[in-house]
Amino acid sequence: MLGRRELLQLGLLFGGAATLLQSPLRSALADSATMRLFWFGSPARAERTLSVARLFEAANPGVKINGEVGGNDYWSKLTTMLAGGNAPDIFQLAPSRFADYARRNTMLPLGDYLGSTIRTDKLMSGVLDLGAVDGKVVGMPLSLNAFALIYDSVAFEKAAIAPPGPTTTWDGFARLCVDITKAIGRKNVWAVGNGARYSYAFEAFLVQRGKRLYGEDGRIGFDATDASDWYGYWESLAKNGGCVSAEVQAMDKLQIDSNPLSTGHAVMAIAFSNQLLGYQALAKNRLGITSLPIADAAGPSGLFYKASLHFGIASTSRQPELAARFIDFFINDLAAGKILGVERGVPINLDVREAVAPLVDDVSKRSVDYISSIAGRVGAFPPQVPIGASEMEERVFRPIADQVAFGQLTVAAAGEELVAQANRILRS
Amino acid sequence: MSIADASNAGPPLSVRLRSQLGGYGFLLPWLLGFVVLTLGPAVSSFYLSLTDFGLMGPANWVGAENYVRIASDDPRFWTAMRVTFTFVLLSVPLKLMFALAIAVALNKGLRGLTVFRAIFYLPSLVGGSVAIAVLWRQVFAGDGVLNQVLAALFGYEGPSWISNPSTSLYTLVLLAAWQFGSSMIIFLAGLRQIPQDMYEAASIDGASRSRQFFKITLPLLTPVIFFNAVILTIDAFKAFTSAFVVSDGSGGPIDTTLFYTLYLYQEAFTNFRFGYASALAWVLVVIIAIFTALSFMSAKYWVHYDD
Repeated sequence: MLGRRELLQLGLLFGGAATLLQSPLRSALADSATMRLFWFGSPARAERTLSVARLFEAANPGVKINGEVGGNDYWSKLTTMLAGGNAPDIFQLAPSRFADYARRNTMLPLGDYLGSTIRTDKLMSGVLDLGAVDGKVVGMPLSLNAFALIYDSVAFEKAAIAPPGPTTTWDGFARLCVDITKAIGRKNVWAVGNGARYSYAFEAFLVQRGKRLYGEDGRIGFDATDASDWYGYWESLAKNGGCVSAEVQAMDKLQIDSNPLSTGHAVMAIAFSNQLLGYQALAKNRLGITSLPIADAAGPSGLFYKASLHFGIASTSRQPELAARFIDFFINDLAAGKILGVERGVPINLDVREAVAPLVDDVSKRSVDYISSIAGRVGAFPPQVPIGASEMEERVFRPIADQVAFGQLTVAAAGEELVAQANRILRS
Repeated sequence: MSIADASNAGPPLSVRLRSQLGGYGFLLPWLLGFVVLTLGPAVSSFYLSLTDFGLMGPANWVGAENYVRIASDDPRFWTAMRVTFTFVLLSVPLKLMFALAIAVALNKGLRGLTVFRAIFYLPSLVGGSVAIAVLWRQVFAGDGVLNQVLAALFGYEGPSWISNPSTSLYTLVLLAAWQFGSSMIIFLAGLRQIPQDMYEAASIDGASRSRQFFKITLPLLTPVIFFNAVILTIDAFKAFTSAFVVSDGSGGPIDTTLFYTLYLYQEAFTNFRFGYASALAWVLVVIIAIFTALSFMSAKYWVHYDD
C-alpha cells in the first residue's frame, strides 16, 4: 500500500522527469545571463518596451532579455508559470491584483536593492508606498495614473452639449448621458458603457462616500446599501436609455479595444488616464479627458494617484540582481524614459518626467495635463488589495452587474449578493 | 501455474525477454510519452486533489475536503454541470444526425465525392481552432452576419446571440454540431461495409428506400453509431476551446456557457485553487467513466454485431 508521501514522491518523480530533462539547457541559459520579461498591453507598448530592452542589452554586453507579451490570457499564463516554477524573472502587474499576487509570495521583496541597485533619489516622494505590501516594497511602480472619464469631443460638439467636467455630479452625468444619447439618435449608440461592471468606477464612487473597495483588514470596505445604490444608479440609467444595453455590455472584456467607446456603441468611457493613448489610437475623433463624476462639490473627488502598473521580480528568479538593474534602468534612465514616454502613465522619476514632457505628442500631453490638473483634488492611496482580489475581479463584480443588467437580479438582491460573495471569497 | 509448467511452456524468461526487446523498443517512444506526460501528471493531479495547493505555498494535506466541498458547498459546480449536460445532450445527437445524414447523401455515388467529402470534413479540421471560435463570435454578435442576413431577408431584428444569456449556449451547440466531419467519415466507411446484395434483395422484394434505410442500413450501422456516440460524448464533456474563446474565459454571459472544463480552468488559473481544480478534474473523469460504462451496458440492447 502506498503512503501519501510515496504517492507524492512518485508523482513528483514522473511529473518532475520532464523538468529534469531540461535542466542542463537551463543552466546554460543562466550562464549567458538571459532574463525573461513578461507584460501585457498594446502593440505600441510592446514596441516601446522591447526598445528599452535592446538599449539595456547594448549597455550590458552579454545580457539578453527575452520579452514575452500577453493579451487576454496574461493572468492565466502568469499563474501557470508561477505555479509551474518557471516564472519570468520580471513580470508586470496591475494594482487591482498586484497585492493578491504579492501576498502569495510570488515576488521578491525589493528592500535589498532599493537605494543601491535601484536608485530612488530622484523618485517622487511616497511613490514606493504604492508598491508596498505589509510594509515591504515588493513591486516597483512604473508610472502614475488616475481614474478618468474619456469622451469623444466631436460627438459633444455636434450635439451642442457641453462635455462632462470636474464639477459634473453623478445626477448631472445621468442627465447628460440621456441627452447625448437622444441627440445622437442612432440605433445601438449610447452615451457610455454600463459602469456597474467596473470595480474601479465603483471604487471612486465609494471613496466619494468615505468608504473603500477594500479595507486594511483584507475585507470589503462597503456594505450592501452602497452596492445597491451603485447598481441602482446604473439600472436607472440603462432604463432611461443613457448607457449601453446588457447584450452590448456583455461583450466588453475590460480591454480598451472591447470597450463600447472603441466598438462604436458609446461616446464616453470610464477608464484610466494613461489609457487615453490607447483609446485615441482606435478613435478617429479627438478624445477629451476629465475626472469622474462626483457625489457633491464639497466632498472628496474619489480620485487618487495610483501606480498604473508594477514590475515585480519573481521569487524564483535566478538573477534577481540583474532584474533589479533592469528595473532601475527602466525607471531611472533618461534614454529609456524618452522611449517609454507616458504610454504606461506619468513617469515616477522626476528628472525623467521633466525630460519627457517636451517630447510627447498632443495626446500624451492631454493625459499628463490631466494628471497635473487633479493634483489639488487627489486623496490618499487606498489599502492594497487582499488575497482573493483577482477572483473578485473575474468572478464577482462583472457577473453580478450582468445579472442585474439582464434582469435576473434586483438591485437590492445584487447588493446583498455582492457582499455575501465577497465575504465568502475574502474569508481566508 | 507451477514452475514446471512455466519451463515447459517455452524458452526461459531471459530468452523470451530478449526476443521481445525489439517490440518494447518500438513501443518506447509511446511508453515514455504515456508515463512521463500522462500517467505522471495524472498521479500528481490525484495527489494534489487531496491538498490545498495554491499558487506558491506548500501543498497541505486536506484529505477528502475538496471533494466534500464540491458535493456540498459549491453552487457554481452545479451551474457548470447543468451547462455541460445540456451541451452534451443537445450537441451529441445533433452531431450524429448531421454526420449520418450527410454520409448517407454522399454514399449515393455522387460525382466529385472526394471534393464534397473534403468540404464537409473541413469544419472538423479547423472547427476546433481559435480562429473559428472568433469567427463564430463575429457571426452571432448583435451586429453580426447572422442578424444582417435575418434583417435583410425577414426584417427580423435578432438579439446578440452570443452575449444573450438565453441563446448563448445554443450558439455553441451549433458550432459543435457543425464539426461533424470525423464522425461522417467513419459513417461513410461503415456504409461502405454494408453488402450491396442486401439492398438488391430488398428492392426485388419491393422494399422502399426509407424501409431499406431503417431495416438494413441503420441496424447494420449500429456498431459505428455506437462508436461515434461514445467518442462524441467524451469529447463533448471535455469541450473547452469554443466556450473559452467566445466568452473570453469567463463562461459568460452570467455563467450560461460555463462548461465544466472552463470552470475547472478558472478555479485553477484565476482563483489559484489548484488542489480544488484537480479534484474537479477527477470528478469529471468519474462522470465520463460512468457515462461510458452506461453506454456499453446499453449496447447489448441496440447494437447489432454481425458475427
